[in-house]
Amino acid sequence: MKKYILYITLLVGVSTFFLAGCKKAMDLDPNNNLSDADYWQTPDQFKLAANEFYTYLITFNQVLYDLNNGGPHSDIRSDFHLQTSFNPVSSGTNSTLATDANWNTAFTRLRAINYLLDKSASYPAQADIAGYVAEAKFFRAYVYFDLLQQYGGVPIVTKPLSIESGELQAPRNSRDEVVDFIIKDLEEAIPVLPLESSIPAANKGRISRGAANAFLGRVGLYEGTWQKFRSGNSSRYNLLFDKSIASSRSVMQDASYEIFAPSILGDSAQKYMFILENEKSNPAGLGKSANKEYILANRYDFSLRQIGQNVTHTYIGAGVTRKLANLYLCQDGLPVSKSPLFKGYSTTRSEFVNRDNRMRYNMMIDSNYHWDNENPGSRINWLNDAADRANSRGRHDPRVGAGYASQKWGAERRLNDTQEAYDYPVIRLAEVYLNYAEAVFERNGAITDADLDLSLNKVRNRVNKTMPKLSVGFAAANGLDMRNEIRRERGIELYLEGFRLDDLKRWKTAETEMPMNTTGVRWRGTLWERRWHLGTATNPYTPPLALDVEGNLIWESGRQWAERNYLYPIPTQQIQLNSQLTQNPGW
Amino acid sequence: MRNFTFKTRWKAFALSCLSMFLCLHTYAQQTITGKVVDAVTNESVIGASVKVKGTSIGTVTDANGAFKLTLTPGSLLQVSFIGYNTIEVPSGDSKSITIRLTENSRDLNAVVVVGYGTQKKATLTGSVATVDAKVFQDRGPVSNPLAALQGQVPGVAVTRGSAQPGRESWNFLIRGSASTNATEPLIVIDGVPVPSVAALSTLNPADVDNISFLKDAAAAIYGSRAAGGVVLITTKKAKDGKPVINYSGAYSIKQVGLQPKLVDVDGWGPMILEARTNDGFGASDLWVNLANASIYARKNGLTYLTQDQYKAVGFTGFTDVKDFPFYDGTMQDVLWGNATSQEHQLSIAGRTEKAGYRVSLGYLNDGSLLQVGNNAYRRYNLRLNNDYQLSERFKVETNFSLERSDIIQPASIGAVLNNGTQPGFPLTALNGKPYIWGSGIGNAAPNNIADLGGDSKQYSTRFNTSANATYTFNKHLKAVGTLGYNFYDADYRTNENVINFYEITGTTIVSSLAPSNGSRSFYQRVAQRTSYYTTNAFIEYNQDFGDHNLKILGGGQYERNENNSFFGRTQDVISGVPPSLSLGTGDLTSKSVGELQDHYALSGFFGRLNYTYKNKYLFEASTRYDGSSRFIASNRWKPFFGLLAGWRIKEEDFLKSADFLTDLKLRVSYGTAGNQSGIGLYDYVTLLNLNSSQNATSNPYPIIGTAPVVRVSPGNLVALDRTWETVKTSNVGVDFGFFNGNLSGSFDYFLKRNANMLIARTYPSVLGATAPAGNNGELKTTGWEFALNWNGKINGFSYHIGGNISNYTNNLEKFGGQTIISSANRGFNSAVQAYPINSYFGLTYAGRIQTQAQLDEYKKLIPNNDIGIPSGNTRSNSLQLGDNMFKDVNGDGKITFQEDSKFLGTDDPHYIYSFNGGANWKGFDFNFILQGVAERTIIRDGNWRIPANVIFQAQNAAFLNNWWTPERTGAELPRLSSTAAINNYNYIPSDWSAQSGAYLRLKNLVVGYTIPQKISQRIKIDRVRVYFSGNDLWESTKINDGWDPEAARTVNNTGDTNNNNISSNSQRYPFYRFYTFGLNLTF
Repeated sequence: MKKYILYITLLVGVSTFFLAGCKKAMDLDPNNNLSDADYWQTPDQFKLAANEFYTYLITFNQVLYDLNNGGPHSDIRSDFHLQTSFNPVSSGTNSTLATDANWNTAFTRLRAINYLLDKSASYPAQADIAGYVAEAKFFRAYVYFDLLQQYGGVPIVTKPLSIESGELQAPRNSRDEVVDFIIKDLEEAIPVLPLESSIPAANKGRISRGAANAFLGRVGLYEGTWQKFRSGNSSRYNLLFDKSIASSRSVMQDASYEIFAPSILGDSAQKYMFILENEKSNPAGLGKSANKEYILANRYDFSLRQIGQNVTHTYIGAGVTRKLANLYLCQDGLPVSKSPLFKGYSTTRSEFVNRDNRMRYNMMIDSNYHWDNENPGSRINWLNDAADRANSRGRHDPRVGAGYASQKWGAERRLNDTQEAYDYPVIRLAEVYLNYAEAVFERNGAITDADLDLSLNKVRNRVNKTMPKLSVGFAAANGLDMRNEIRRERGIELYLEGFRLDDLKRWKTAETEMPMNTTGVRWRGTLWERRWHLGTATNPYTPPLALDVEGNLIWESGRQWAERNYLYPIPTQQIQLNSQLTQNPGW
Repeated sequence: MRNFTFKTRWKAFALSCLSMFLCLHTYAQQTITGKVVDAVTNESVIGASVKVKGTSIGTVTDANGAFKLTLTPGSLLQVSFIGYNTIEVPSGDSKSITIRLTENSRDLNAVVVVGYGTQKKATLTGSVATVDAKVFQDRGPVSNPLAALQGQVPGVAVTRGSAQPGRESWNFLIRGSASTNATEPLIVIDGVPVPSVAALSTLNPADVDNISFLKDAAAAIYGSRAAGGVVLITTKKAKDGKPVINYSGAYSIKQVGLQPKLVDVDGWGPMILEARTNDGFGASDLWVNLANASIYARKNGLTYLTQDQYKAVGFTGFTDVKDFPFYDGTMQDVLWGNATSQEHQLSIAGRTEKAGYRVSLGYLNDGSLLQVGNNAYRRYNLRLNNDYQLSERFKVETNFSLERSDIIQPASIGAVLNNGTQPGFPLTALNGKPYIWGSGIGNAAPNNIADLGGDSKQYSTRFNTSANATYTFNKHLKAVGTLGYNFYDADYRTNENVINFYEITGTTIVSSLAPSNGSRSFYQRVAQRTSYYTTNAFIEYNQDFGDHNLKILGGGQYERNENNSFFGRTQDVISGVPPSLSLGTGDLTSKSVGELQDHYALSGFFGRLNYTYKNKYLFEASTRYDGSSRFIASNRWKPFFGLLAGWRIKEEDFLKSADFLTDLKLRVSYGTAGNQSGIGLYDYVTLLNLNSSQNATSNPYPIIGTAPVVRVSPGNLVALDRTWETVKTSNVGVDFGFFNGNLSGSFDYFLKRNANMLIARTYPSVLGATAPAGNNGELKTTGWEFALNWNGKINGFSYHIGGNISNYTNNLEKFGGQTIISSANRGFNSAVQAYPINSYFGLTYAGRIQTQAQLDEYKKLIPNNDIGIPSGNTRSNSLQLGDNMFKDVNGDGKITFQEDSKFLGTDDPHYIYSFNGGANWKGFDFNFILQGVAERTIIRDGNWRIPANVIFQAQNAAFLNNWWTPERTGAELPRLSSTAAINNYNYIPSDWSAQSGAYLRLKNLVVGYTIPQKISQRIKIDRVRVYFSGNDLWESTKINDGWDPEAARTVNNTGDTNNNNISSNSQRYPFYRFYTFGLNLTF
């Protein structure tokens, strides 16, 4: 028996030894991760955290594509663009979603922003990190504006939440509260953010005071018009217009920014701005540093960061609607319906004559030579001479889609697919000018020639030096509606930059614009009948698509737009998880 | 009777003690010879163990069943052989004896390996299934031990995801899932756990002696890692007797099995034309043009048109391509074909008085069905298993295994297997140069990518060592200590070249592409090293008290895993020379490095008590107290336990006389086991994520100044309140044998309940982060297993036939209220509360729209539907005749997926069954295994699932001309369309789009012949056997899309992080039929 006691003692002894040893051997700290407890000690660490926010800037994916319900502002969803497969939002047939990545992503971003703001509160030397705090506020406003445009009022979250937080079950804040929150963040950030001129080279690309002001200009105009065209409170929307005007004006007065219009590029300046990369990307041999129009850009670089989408191939030849084609003015500043310079639709090329120069640089003309990124296909000397043409992608054949084709965003330098690396203009000066002109007009019901010259005319005349300026007198003399002309300029200049659908929503004109058939070229009675038909021996003149009463090719008919389409639906799963969350009307 | 037995035993014991005593003093010795024969057939039994009881003296019978032993007169001989009853025979006075063994197929005295020891099968209380070395013999090359286990073990479902050599992703589940998180079975090799099931992949199947599967509370002694069951593998050790040399070699032919056939250009053109026309696209449509051009070209015998010819004939569109190829054949024909494999095994084993040794060498060269590029798997095995009797009390056993494997594959295997190429592409340009249609890699000929795009190689070495020491204090008490070290080293080398692709004439370069990296070549090397060490020690006490037997065991265990890897990568490597990180020509931004490190530790204390009364009433209790480094210290430790009882009814007096009954035993058990796989290694520590850009084509990292930013973002939310999942398993089982064991079987019923399962908790997205998993779920699994075997012998003809079937169903009792049923992933919802995991949900098919009246009526269901019923007014966005209809099940006037869908079945196989049989006659042997699944639901994912849906890609020939047209209204498929809106609607998950994954397959068939010894001994070989073996030779399946019934629902695969994350699409590898010719030699 004694022996067993010995054994048991031995066993207990060994076990105790094990337990003592193991306890320590069980505490394993991460050896390849960044622990929150060790972080937030230096301004530089706040900088790295603020860097995260720059991934939130809108870019090609969200504007030129509609990937996995991912492009709430995509021009594909608007009335200017033709898609082979109809886009459900554009057609007005989209339905509610159980989950919506745009909703989820926005709140993930807000958490990261609030996380930095939360950590900054206890940082001893506030002045050292003030810039990053201001950036965080800018981006919080940026994300909330994105949510506002999509869903209207949403819950306002001001700090990183935990699973116990009551905010998880909070109802939606009102639209006004969200707008006020955005403005408050921006107004707090603006005085702290540096002027573009004082940002050192190593920090170029960070948020400037100009960017925040320009953004405030955009927000004020957006919400001001939203309220105005929905019979909102006039003192509120006028206040919003005032804020918009003031902040846009401060950007317009900043000498750091100017319209990109190198004389060497002449009337092609706007085209090459969008595809500006290095000296090989344009005939003038300019690089990105020549561009002072971009106030805030999502920046790319061939060897560091490529766009990764087949931008050129997708957008050279992409379908454009007749509505956009007809928007372009003639060189006398008059629309096609009024201008004596307009050559009509009789041939496949006639309507391009005497038009706003942006038309021929943004669109493709039958039988003209065009270039892309292919080999052959790309430019070799930019001279348009025989050698350059011999290497081109050939003469344009328009017999695709509904006949109109776009070439905006198409590179002309030799590149493999998806390797384009031009910057995406999140905010550019031309938009600020247009925001200003519109806000002034909507605030006062009128706009002076001086204000037009300070703003809209700079945009319109960039590549149309001889076109008469828009003025009160010119409009009156020609029976033009000033509001229409301001909106026309916006449609043309900002085409394929993610504005069109949101503009129609805030103007409350989507219900008339969006259900219109999307149409293409005038086929009946024009040269198109011979150029493009479903020819058979007995009946050579069958149109490739159905025709409307004017004889234009119809691409999509039966489009719809209901009141509910002005806002996207709240994802239904979120409503299940938080019964306080109400669905947008009509969904 | 009982008395007599006891006396005999006592006598034997006394005798053997005496003989041992005499032995030690080397008294008068006597040499006897003998022969061991089958009591019925009188055939000699080869390899039977003949031992002098109580000594280490022993031998095995030779090829004639003969043996020779020197012993003390009057010794007791103990003779045993697998499948026969062990008997004890006094050596007697005779110099030559014949020993007759009676066969016992259900060897009641067999010993089964259980946790930390062994138990007699007869007195086993747990649900433990065993297989022996036979399942691996004569199967031909077996790339992974699991491959041979399909259909062998009731309740063990073995699955594979691919047929790519070395990357088959063999996996298995014991009794289904115990959690929505992974519950990988714990693998223990020779008493030492290995870090993961993956460690099995390079184990040499020829070294396996036996495997035990602990399915119920018998596994509880492994506590924290036992939730998925425990698999105990014992490798072969030296047997008694003279050195035995064994060689086996096999040569196999692989033949492409079931895989979808693709449509060639002759089928593709009309199909696309029809689809586009159906969608209302006119002559201006570029696809209509291309389709017409293909029909035109084929009619005129043209293999391609140049861009100018294309235009000249009047076709438009595709101005960015140089030519339009319309060649014969499909990519499937080019990519896949036959292959060969071979395997060689050599082992030498022997035993001296104090030591035993076994050395084995293995070589496997597994060829690939992939006909393009370099693709193969080679495995080299060395195993040294030694044991030493250092003293009478002290025994040491060492196991050493070196497993080396090499995998080579095209670096961009994903781009090769991607079905992105439309039919008609040539294999090369006319002059043999690589061909591309347009400039993107998706338009390049896959064979060129495979041949020229570079290789990805993985060289891995696994080094498994263990030492096990047993010290026997006395006949009641012993202590065992084990030390194990498992070292895994993998070296991944991925090189991707830039390929110059040409247009059809091969004169102009269209684009220069590295398949996954834009226009830049790269070379990446990953060094991965995992050290896993484990130690355990226990003391075992064992004593009989009259009719009572008591066995107590107690000990502790610690295991720790250290994972380390780092990588270096350079872009722009010099082509044509062996790639090296030092030979990059790019600037500094072209190089990148990274590192990964993590570790975890587990420790536990365990104890077990076994009590038996009269070997009739059996009782076992085990407990375990476990801790894991994954939990915060306050929630780290948790106890687990198991209670098992058995009743050997046959031993009761009232059944003693029932001669027809050989055995009857009832077993019940209840136990708990832990799981922790649902959470990260450091989830209780608040972490931040650091991200930096790797190259120009990686994720979007904005540029500030002149460089991409380095970013820090908040990590996941931490949870401090969670702990182990606890899986509670109850089991009732019965084992039975009839007719002297000729008929035997077992039945088990089990219930597993995981009541505090770690689940993702869904909170409103306003939270802004993924909520941490919590112990809020509950999964209940019930199931049963049944096995029945018959062994018989008619004169010289012995045969066996048997089968097993098992099934389980699980139900998510609680899943955080997660009841959202999604139509995404083809209706596959891995976790919905109140349903089984991996369930499919879908709408109820209500027939096809055949008439305008039906169409008008059905359109009433359009308002507020959320299943995407096309509601426009053109052909490509509106409902048409030939579209599917679905039922508004709840009658609310609209069809919504959540409300109107129903449960369609699960992706997990149910009613897994197998039949096996075999016979031996005069040297001939024959064995077969039929294995099947009676119930499985599949809704296939991937691009080949809908005809013409992705028009520019290959099309599945299974669907050709199977779609609705006004003339073919009874067709299986709805109208053909190339529009996503139409197809997404028609093919929305429904009981119509679901197919049955049931199958029956001839898993294995072996025919062998053993040359009579008289002949083989003339060339000094004890045994010569030749055989033919075939795997997967035949099957019956209901799958209608051409895939193998065992294929995954996704038939895809994501990339391997160590292989540059290049998506491998390895699930597209077709499974194969396998014909093997083999030879076994024993010297």
